[in-house]
Amino acid sequence: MGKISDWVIFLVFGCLAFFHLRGFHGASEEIVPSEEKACLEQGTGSFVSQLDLEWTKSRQYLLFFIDFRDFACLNCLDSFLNFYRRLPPRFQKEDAMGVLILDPGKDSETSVQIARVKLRGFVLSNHIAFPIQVDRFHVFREFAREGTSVILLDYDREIIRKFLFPLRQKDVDEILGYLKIE
Amino acid sequence: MGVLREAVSCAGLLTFAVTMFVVHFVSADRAKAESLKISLEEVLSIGSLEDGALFQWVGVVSDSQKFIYVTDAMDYALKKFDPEGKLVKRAGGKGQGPGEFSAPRLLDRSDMYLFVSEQYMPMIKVFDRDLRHRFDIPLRAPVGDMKVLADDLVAVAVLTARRTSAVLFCNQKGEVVRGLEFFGSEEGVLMDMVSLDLDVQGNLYLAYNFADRIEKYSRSGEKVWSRNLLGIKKVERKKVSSFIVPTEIVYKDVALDGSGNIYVLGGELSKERSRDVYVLSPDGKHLATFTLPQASHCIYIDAENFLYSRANEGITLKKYRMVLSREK
Repeated sequence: MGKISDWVIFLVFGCLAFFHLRGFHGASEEIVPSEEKACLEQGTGSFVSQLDLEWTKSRQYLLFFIDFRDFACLNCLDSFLNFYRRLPPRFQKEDAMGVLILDPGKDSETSVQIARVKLRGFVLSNHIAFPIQVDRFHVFREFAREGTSVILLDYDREIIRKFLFPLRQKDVDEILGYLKIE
Repeated sequence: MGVLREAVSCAGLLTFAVTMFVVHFVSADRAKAESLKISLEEVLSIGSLEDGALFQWVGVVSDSQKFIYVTDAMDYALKKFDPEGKLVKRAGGKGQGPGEFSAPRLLDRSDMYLFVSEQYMPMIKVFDRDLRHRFDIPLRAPVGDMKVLADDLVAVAVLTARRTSAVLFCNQKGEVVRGLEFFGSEEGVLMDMVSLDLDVQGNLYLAYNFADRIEKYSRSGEKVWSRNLLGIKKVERKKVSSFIVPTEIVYKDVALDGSGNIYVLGGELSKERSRDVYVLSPDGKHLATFTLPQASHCIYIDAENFLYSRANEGITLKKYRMVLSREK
């Protein structure tokens, strides 16, 4: 079991690193080239420092694990939605992602499709902007054992914390404190 | 002679006992031979895994023109479908404003209006048939179940912490016109949660959500009968915060057909969880049990005796024709 946990943690970090780097490269492809060109033309050499700033900005990340069973009880996700509304825009959109964890017995194609439809309804009606993906191969199942949760990753301060929903006020304050807001 | 008389008497008694035994089983066999069988034929399906018409429907009601109205909790909406199942209008949205929902749930109708309950709010939102919000009915407590009796009268089982619960008959202003107390024991939190329906004579039928009990009350409030179908003495409970609450639903819903027969949807303790439907006559006799194709949270029977239930975990609404036959 210990080995499986190690693998799961390894996969989480692998995914985070992937999304983090992908986001960074995405930015470099779309924004940086024109700025790089401008910097080079001006000969200021400030491009590197701008890149550093971008990197610093995205050194915090929120990863949500949503327990599919909570979709059967919408108020169970009220705490998640209230918390989401309090996040600054970049954590509502770019610097967060979600994984929808399915029930252990829900492996059929129909079950996965049901989960997708419900997720679509949830995202649309609540205007959730960050991507949420269905964990159809149960990679992250272990993470939903205790229900819906959020993991905070702060690379600069080397902090990784897990918080279970419904969040207590103390938890909300702590997370927002880490995110340097409010 | 005395011995002979005694022997004859014993033989007579034995013959009588055997005759009664045979008669009992023959009549039981006949009753069995004539037991009711109900099968379902699907006539309409609304919402699929592709179209996104429904995400998690909760309440359903149809009108005399065969339009079907549905509350969709995940979409925070009230939706109207035509008789062919095409979405013709949507109202609501998430919010606290007029006509908006935080968690739309139960749905019923009168001649003019649609009544929608909110899960944790002590109120009923009222819409017209075009889904325009008209007014709200303020209540004392959140609605456990409800049945609309007229434009200006709704029967509501409210969720309270009281040990004696009641079905309240409220007008449009939320004023209690009359009440009917139905529970007096001290069994604990949530044990008085019921699903309810009323027949045309005003008799009240209750199916307890966390107890093996189905009851009929007369219009004047007298208990007519009480039945338990599953032989369950007590449901499991667990401690949540400072309360000890039941964890398994015994009966999920109750609905009446046009003949006054009572349909009770079993919950997690039924043989087929959330699929078995028990049919009782108006005098409480168990007539039949049939099984829904998929688990449902509720059943609804319209004026033409079509039965509606859930499929695909709330993404699909199924409408069935009930075919009654005598099983041999």
